[in-house]
Amino acid sequence: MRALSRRTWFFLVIAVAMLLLYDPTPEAFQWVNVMLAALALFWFVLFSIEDVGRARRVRRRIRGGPR
Amino acid sequence: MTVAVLAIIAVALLFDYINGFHDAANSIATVVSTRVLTPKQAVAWAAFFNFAAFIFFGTKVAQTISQVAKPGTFSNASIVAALMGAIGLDLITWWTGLPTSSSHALVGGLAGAAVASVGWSSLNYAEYQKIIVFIVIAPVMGFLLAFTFMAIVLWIFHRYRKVDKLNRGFRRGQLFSAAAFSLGHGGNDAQKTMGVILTVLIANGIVSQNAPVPLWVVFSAHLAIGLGTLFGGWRIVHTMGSKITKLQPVGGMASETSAAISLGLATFGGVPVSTTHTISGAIVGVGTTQRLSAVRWGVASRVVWAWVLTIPGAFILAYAVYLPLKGLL
Repeated sequence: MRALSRRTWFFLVIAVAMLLLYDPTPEAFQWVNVMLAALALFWFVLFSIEDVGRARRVRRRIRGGPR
Repeated sequence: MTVAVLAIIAVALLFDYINGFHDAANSIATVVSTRVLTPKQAVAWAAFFNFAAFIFFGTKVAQTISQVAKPGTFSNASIVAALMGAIGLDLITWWTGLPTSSSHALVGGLAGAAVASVGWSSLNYAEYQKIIVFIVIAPVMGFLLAFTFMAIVLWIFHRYRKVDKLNRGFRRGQLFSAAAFSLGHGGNDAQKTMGVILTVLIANGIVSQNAPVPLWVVFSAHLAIGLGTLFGGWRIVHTMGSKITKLQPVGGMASETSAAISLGLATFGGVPVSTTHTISGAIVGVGTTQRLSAVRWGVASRVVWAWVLTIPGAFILAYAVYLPLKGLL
C-alpha cells in the first residue's frame, strides 16, 4: 500500500467520487459519470503498476541485488 | 413592455457584461502569456468568439435557468432580488478573494427569491439536482481530460528534440483552443442571462411558459458578454499575462481544449456550469502530469470552499433582499 504515490490514490478517489455521484446524477447524464470513473480508474491502474515497479527496483537496489 | 421590465432586463444584461468583463482572462491569459497574441489582439479574439457562440449552441441552458422554479413563482420583485443576491455575493467574494462562480450565485439567488416569495414547494428540485451534481462533475471532467490530453502529447513527443518547432506548433494550436474555450464560455454563460430575461418575460406574460427564447434575447445576451470581454478583458489580461510566466504553450492548449470540451458537453446537455471552475480543474490536470505537489492545493481548497458556500450564500442574500422589495415592485 505504501508503494502507491499520492497521485495514484488521487485518481482512485476521483473514480470513487464519480461512482458515488452516479445515483444522484440525472439518467441522461449518467454516462458522463461512467466515462470519467473509467478514465480515472485507467490512470489509477497505470500509475499503480508504475509505482509498484519502482518500489521493487528500489528494494532490490537496497538489498544489493541485480539491477 | 413596462419600464420595470426594461429595467430588470438592463440589470440582467449588466450581470452578463460583468461576467464577460471578469471571465475574459480565463480564456486568453494563456495566449497572452505565451506571446501568441498581444493583449489587445487576444481580447478582440475572445470577444468575437464569445459573441459568435450563439451560432453554435442552442438555448437549452437558458431553458434550464428559466425552469429552476415552478411556473408562476417569479415576479419582478423576486427576479430583482435574485439578481441582487447574485451580484451582492459576487462582490463580497471578490472583496474576500474567494474564487466563486457567478453562475452558481445566480442559481442560488433564484432559489432564495423563489423560496422567499412562494416557499420551498416552488423549487424544481430535478433541475437543481442536475446543477448541483455538475458543480463537482464539470471541474473533474476538465481535470481528467486535460491530464489525459497532456499525457498523450508527452508520450507522443517525448523523443522529439526540436523543442522550438514543437512549441511553434502548439502556439498556433492555442489560437484554436482559446477560440474554442471562448465559444464554450459565451455559449454557457450568455445563456444564463437569457434564462433570467426569459423568466422576466414569462412572469410579465410577454411570452408563454414553454416559448422558445426570442432571437433578440439571444443576440443581446451574446452582445453583452462579448462587449464585457472586449472592454474588461484588457486590464485583467494585461496583469495575468505578465504574471503567468512558466506556462508552456502545450499546457495552455491542453487546458483550454479540455475545458472547451467540458463546457460544450454541458451546454448541449442544458446544464449551467461554472467556466472558472472548469478551466481551474483543467489547469490542475495539466499541473498533475508533472507531480501532485506542482499543484497549489491551497488554491484548490479555496475553490472547494467556494463550491460549498456560493449557492447558500446567494440564497440567503436574495431571500433577505426580497423581503423589503416585495412591497415596492
